[in-house]
Amino acid sequence: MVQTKNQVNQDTQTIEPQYSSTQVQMAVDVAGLHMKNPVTDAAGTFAAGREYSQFVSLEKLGAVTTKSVASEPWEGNVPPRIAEIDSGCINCIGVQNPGMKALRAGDLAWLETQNVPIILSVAGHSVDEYKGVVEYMNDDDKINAFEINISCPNISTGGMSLGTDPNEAGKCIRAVRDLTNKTLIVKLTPNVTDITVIAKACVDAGADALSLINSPKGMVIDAYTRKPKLSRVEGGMSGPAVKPIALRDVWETHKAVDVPLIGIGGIRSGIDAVEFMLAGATAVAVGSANFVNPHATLDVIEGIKQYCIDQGVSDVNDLIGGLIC
Amino acid sequence: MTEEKRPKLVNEVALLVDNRNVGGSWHVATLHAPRIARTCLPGQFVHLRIPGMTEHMLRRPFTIFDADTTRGDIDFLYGIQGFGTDHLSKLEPGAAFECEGPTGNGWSVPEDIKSALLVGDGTGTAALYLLAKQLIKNDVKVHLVMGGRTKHTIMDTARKFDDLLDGPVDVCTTNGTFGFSGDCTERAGDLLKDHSFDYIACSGPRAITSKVADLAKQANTPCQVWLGSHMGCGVGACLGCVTDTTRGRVRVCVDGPIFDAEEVIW
Ligand SMILES: Cc1cc2nc3c(=O)[nH]c(=O)nc-3n(C[C@H](O)[C@H](O)[C@H](O)COP(=O)(O)OP(=O)(O)OC[C@H]3O[C@@H](n4cnc5c(N)ncnc54)[C@H](O)[C@@H]3O)c2cc1C
Ligand SMILES: Cc1cc2nc3c(=O)[nH]c(=O)nc-3n(C[C@H](O)[C@H](O)[C@H](O)COP(=O)(O)O)c2cc1C
Ligand code: FES
Repeated sequence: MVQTKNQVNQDTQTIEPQYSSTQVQMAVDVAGLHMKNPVTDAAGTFAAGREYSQFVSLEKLGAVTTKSVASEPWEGNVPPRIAEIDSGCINCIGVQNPGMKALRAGDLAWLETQNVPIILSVAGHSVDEYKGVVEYMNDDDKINAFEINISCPNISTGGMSLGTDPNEAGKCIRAVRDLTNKTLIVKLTPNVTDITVIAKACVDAGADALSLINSPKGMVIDAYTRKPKLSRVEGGMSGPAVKPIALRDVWETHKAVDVPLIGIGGIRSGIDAVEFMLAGATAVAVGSANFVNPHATLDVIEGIKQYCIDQGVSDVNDLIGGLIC
Repeated sequence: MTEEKRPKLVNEVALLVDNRNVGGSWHVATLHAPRIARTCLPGQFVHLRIPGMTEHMLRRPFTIFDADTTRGDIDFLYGIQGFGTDHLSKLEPGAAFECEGPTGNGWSVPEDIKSALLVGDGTGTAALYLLAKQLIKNDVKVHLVMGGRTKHTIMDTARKFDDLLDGPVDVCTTNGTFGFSGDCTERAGDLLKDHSFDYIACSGPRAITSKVADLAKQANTPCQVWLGSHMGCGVGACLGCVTDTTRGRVRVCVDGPIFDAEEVIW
């Protein structure tokens, strides 16, 4: 099936995605976050959209999710911090970010002129640091939702250590819930025995929606140098290699909780996205696929639409949880 | 080069025009990529989606070695490293790539210089060709030191520079099969004992660029270096490619790949 008819402009040979115009109801609602289509980018793969705006008109996306930001600047881990794996990549960036003040004055201010809903991803080493960011950003009306990243595998305190313990996760989410009325999304890690335990703890603590998955942990070795390929030895995997893990986690979580889910992991086409929606996701996020194809987000939107046209689906919401089994 | 003044980044379909072996595992590929060819600056690179690499999904970065603005072609010089470059070496003319570029900052040569020393090691020398062209156009006297392992791999590239510089370039081979026997930093060090230059540019592995940066410091000469890094996005979004500098941990793909030697934390 043709997802996108990428037409080559004969004069310039530049790739200009050409999209079909047939009507499908594409809008979805993620607990009050209204998205004109179910597609956003995955935090940390798209910065605040500025770089990819050279290829993608951001207002066509359902939302832009920013790189996770902390209360203070973080310099992340030392390089090397990215390597290729079969059908994907692995990274140990460690949430390098300029801190909330610099983000707000810089790239966030720019993003707010782009006419697209904004999901601000929040990182922290402690509950207080998460609270600090939400408190500081909450009065910004252009931010539609917070995504609390309690799932980063590449930092030693906070991040995933909060997201693997239901009590700690619950405490953190309750604390930020008290500070905001914006849509509160919690991003979950797959690096647990049972993701639904954490999912329930977050929903009980007031999460409006969940996004999953963050990167599963992995490791890559160079046999010839006998060294790890990443400075931190281990890292988080992404790309098509992790899609089956993500699909299963979405499906299990969909059966366990009653809040909207944002499906993430290895999505590079509309069909991939549809699979996540059938497993129970209301929306999806496109991550490392952007590295390979800078128009990936738009291609996914168009691919979902094309699937709906081909399958006689008039409203994309009809796909959510539609798995037959 | 400030980001605002750079040519616009595009992702264009580029057909392979030629892909020839030039000795050992070295190849020169020519891609028809007119928008990039017509706008690129010396030292910039392309980020290539090589056809037939689905499982090896990341793009591969290659320096723009030469650009033919009339034909709209770019050349890049590559050695076989792993799966991607091996696969690339087997592709025939007509293969369609997605070519993102021109990427990165490019060299910024100080104004009013009269002489320049360019030091290149291995395929890294490719980053110096368009720079040499630009310097010559501006009447700067260029001395190129080029290093490699064997005569076999580097001669084709050395001849291309000979033609441009109108005279034999300073070739070094570590196995002593041609020219100066040793690496290019030793040759550059010898040269700097009796000659002075207004500017030094160096491209190659970090072990080489860091030595040349040292030599330049001793000679009190402004120096820029090309730095490589493993990349994810190649557009500045993923923070996978960073290197440490006096400005902080910055992105090699868009804040580099060219850095003032003084600002690099080695
Ligand atoms: C800005 C830039 C310009 C470059 N220009 C040239 C050039 O003109 N000629 C040339 O021969 N090489 C160049 N390189 C190195 C070239 O990109 C690698 O040799 C190539 O990516 C190796 O791919 P592979 O699939 O053969 O190797 P694999 O080892 O199979 O690659 C696995 C992964 O590691 C990455 N990788 C492996 N080696 C390197 C490396 N040395 N640098 C960066 N990434 C690497 C690959 O891109 C890929 O993501 C450049 C690198 C950078 C960063
Ligand atoms: C380079 C890189 C940086 C990332 N940074 C973040 C981050 O800052 N915050 C976060 O919540 N997830 C981060 N992630 C995880 C992604 O958002 C996503 O959950 C994961 O990559 C799986 O999706 P994918 O397979 O589509 O890439 C990062 C992933 C990559 C590859
Ligand atoms: S490769 Fe992604 S920021 Fe440089």
